Amino acid sequence: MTTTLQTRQAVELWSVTRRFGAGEHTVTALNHITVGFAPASFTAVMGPSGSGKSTLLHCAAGLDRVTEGRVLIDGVDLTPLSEKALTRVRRERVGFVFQAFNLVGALTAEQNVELPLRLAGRRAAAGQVRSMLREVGLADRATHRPSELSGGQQQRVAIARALVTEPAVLFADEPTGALDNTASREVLRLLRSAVDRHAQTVVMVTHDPLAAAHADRVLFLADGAIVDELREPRGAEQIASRMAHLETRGLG
Amino acid sequence: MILAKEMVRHRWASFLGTFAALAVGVAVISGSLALWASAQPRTPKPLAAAEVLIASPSYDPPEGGFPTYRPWSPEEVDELVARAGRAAGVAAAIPDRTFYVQRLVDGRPVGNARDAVHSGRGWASAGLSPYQLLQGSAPDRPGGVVVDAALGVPVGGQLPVLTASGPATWTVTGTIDGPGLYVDDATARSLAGGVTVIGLRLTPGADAERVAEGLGLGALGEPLTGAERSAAEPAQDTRTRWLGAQLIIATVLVGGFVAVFVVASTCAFSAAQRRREIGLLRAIGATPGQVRRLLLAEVLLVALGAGVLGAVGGALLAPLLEGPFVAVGLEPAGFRVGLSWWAMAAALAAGMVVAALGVWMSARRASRVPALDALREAAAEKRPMTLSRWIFGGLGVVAGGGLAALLPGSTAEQKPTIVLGSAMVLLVAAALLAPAVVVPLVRLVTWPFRRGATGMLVREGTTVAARRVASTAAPVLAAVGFAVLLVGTFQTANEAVGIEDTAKIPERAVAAPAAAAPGLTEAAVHAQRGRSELSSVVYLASGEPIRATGSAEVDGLVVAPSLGWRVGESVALRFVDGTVQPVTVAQVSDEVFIDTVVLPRALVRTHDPTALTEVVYLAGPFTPVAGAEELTARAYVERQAAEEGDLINLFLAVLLGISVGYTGLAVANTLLMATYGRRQEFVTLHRTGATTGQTLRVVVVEAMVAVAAGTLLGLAVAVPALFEARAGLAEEIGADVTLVMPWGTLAAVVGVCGGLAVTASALPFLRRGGLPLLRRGGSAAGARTMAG
Repeated sequence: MTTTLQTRQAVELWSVTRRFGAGEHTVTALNHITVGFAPASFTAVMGPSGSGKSTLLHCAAGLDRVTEGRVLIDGVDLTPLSEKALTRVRRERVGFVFQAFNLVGALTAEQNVELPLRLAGRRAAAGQVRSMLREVGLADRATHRPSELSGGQQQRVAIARALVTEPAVLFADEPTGALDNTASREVLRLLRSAVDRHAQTVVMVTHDPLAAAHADRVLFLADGAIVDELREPRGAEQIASRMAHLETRGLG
Repeated sequence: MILAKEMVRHRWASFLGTFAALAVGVAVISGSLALWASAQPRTPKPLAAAEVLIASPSYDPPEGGFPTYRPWSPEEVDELVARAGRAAGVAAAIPDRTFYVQRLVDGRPVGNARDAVHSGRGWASAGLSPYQLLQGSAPDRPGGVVVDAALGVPVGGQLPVLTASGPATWTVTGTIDGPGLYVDDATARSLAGGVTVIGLRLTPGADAERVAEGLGLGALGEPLTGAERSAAEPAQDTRTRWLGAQLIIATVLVGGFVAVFVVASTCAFSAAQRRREIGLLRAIGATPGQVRRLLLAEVLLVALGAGVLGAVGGALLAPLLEGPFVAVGLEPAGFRVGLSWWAMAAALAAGMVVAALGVWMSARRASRVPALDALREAAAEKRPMTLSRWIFGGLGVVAGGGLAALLPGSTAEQKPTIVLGSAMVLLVAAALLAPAVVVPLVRLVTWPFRRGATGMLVREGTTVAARRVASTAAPVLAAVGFAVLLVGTFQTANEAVGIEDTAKIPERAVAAPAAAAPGLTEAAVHAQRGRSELSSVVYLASGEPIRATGSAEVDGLVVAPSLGWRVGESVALRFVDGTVQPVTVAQVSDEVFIDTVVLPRALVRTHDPTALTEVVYLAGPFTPVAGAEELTARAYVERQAAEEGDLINLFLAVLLGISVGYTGLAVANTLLMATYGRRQEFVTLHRTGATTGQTLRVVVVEAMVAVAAGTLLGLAVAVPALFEARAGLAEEIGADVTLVMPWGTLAAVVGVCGGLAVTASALPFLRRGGLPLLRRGGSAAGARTMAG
């Protein structure tokens, strides 16, 4: 499978390899992956556990270092950057939504959303944080602390936090993994509308075909390589059958 | 930084230990500094009214130490009084003559032995004091005395006293509003030794500075004005203050050090618990520097609050120490502690520095937490021991042990320093190495109980969380080792010294000064049959003071070889009364103590009317006299040792108190934080069918096991060292020495640590009626409320 990278991509991975451990115990989590994520696209990354999908996300987001190859975000090559410079890139060009534990417990929803700006030494423009919270439907919860919010509400605050810096790309790692169906749908709807209304690039790792059905493109990973791709999926069933196919093949 | 403030507000429980450690540390420092500020030498009260004091020529020992003042000869005093009296602006020049006198009540000397040595003065000296005659009149003939009205003896009343010559009964002719016994000047002249201070009263409007400059005394005396007049303080008081200062310095050092230690371990533990949160911050864009500054800012905020509380608390508590400090001889009588703003400010600043030092390491480590840690579930601990822990821990053990091994051979002055140094180094080493030894030890201790559910949980829990157990056991280890080693070494050494010194006294019994008496009077000595020595001082031409003993057994000058004099050489000696007399060296003898001369007793007595005798080694039965009592040779030696020992015991008590108090704090805090942090684990336990009681038992048993492990390890370090010290001592004195094991101290230390550990680990369960943890523990991620 080949991906051409002619146009400027939000995120580019060039022949990325990530190995863990040393000597006999080396595990290759990513094996020479080349892939691009176009601006204003919503990509879901799927694969059986151990396929390397989380590692792909970590490497693409600059949370983890690659063993070989190059990663570019918004045209900036991450590979040669120092930890501090890398942090700055993350702060300015990347937003994160994790499966759980997204918020700083000591801070209110509002303060959590504002945190990336503060860390960058900026102040939020007047009303910026509130309008962000309104967008995720939590304007009335601005002064609540995470312990006073439901799991779905926490995820929505995390999305607001991830979008407030207007990043080049938003990475979501199983954002609905700990949520019930209603809360999941709300979170996915928010991600979708970020792409549609704000031209946000979103890359989401998930194992849930229902979640992946919200994406424009679904990448299937197995054994550290991209083995299949589905553009404009027609629904969860199509994705599920591809997954099943993948898993059978993996077993066989 | 807002984040830091919110963190502190939100996670107050995890800062509780840091707060307590800093508050106590700052209180210790603030109190000590208040004592220090109040303990600065000041113009002695009986001389306070003299605007100018002339001090006799001083001698500064080349090896450092206190300057000493050699007395003027009677001719020099007369000349100075005459010259100063003629100077412009001087109303009167009065030589201050002081002597030993002590009141007898029911035939026993009363009061403070150190003060009694200079509590007698001539009436003329009263003109230098701020005291006023309240009733009666000045003493005008021998046998009359003016006393402090507070004594309650009326004018005309009888006052039995003891002077260097023996008991006497004086008649009170008047009362004043200050301490001291003032006699007529002729009597003072006969009882006092030399003069080292002449006080000047000025005419109204005269400027003290200008008068002092205009005196032109040259090398004969130095005029002192204003605060400089504190140099006229009696030498004993200066020495006493110095001892007090030593304790204060030691306290501040230990207090500061232990506070750093506790803050460091608390911060390290809390940083480890917060890995995920720090990872999240890193992921969303906090640079390592920002994480470091956040942790620093948090602790400094806590330090500010704790520091203000501690600084004020310490300053308010310091006056409570006035009495004890004077009683054990760390400050002269009349010591008062005032409120000192700079002491509080300095203590607060010290608290901030301590906090910054304590958090430094963990802040650095936390800043290296990778962003990926935000995605990890509370990770099982990686290796509990790092290479640097092994290296520095090992070095610490070697250095601390080496220092401790120097102890038996060191001088009395070096001992506290060595003790302090080695204890600190060992403390750090123990903390560094604890994770390596604690886990195997805990497994060993709990082996018999491995079948029960509690035993199994405790065993497995401690293996997984080596750091947590080590954090609990390490302070206990340090406290136990510290207590046993220090107290044991000192008590064993005291025992050894007692055996050795008793062996030097061939006599069975001695006549020793009664309680509260600084020495034996001439009358008390003459009443006994036996050998004795009169203690005095002579001064060389340079002004250097040399110990002089008056002995009935010599008829010439016998000197120690260390002085470097030859037989037949003539040496000019200045006696206590200031007269200079050439004396020919009759003999150089090894028998004489280092840097000491022995002179005929009568000669010493002539020139030092105020000299006292330390002890009479009895050759016959004891004759009871005022101010003397009979003791066996052994009891006398033990009393001598105890006087020195009181001071050392106080040092030990303070140092131990601080270190044990702090270790208790560290243990309690670690466990408290750990129990909160393990909420999830307890929820799981509960769901698998454990009752609250069973969970509680697991936690309490775990805490006790950690304390037991720490105690065993502490003993494993201290006991061999104690045996080593005993062997060294036995070799030194060539006799068997009984090893003194400080069981009481050990029990107290373990008891305190154990009690605190159990309370702290159980406390989170007792709040909110039993199951506070389970209510919130089940809620989704993000609920990391430490406050429960």
